[in-house]
Amino acid sequence: MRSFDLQTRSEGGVTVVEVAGSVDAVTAPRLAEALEAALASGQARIVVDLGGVAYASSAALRALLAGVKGTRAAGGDLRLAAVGGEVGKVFEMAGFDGIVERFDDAATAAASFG
Amino acid sequence: MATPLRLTKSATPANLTLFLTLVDVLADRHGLPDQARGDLRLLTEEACTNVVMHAFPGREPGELTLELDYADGVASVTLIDDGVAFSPDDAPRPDLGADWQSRREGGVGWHLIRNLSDELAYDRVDEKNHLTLRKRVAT
Repeated sequence: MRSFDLQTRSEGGVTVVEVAGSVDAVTAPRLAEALEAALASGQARIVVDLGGVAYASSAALRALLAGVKGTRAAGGDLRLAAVGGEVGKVFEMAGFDGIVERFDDAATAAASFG
Repeated sequence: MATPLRLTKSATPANLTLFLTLVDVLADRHGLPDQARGDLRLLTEEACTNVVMHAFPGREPGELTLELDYADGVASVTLIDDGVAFSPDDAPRPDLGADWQSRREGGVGWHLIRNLSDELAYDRVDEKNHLTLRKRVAT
């Protein structure tokens, strides 16, 4: 059974959500909940670090798109870090590259908020 | 020649993990490389999730049968469900060029299925949907 782990931390006023394992129809709701919780507590500058994610399905994309819409509506943004090869392939197939910014690592993504 | 793997369960979110585990069994049995395993898992997940989420609107979930096979370099994923009739031709196609405000949160699953599979066949037989996806797998 594939694992899933999620940790949330703050880096210079930016919320970093570190995800590991598989983000699929079973586990994506937990990512969505974490993003909603961050927004609900007033955190609209979010980085999702996917460095530990080897598999992501359309469920992951739905959770991330909802996060993008929520953060931008609140005047912030959601940015991605460390999107690996196979996950990146899914993002490209789904046309996500034109919707959300990607960075090599979480520190660079967090710094991009200025 | 190994017999196909087959699992029948109610089409509920709680059973998705069981269906996806069958992909690991197939991949282990045939020594499929990691990329093939990932592609098959994605195909299976997207197809099974469509049934779980959309095949039984307003009623108790029916049954979903998943059958996986691999022979002569081709993996096949077959789903049989007794939900509402739904052909892949009827599936929404996402507007991949839409900006983030216009982009719908759904519709990507079928897009991934079409992109990842080499063949897609659908039929409605005896009030059941039969969907078969085939993918050539390099070993």
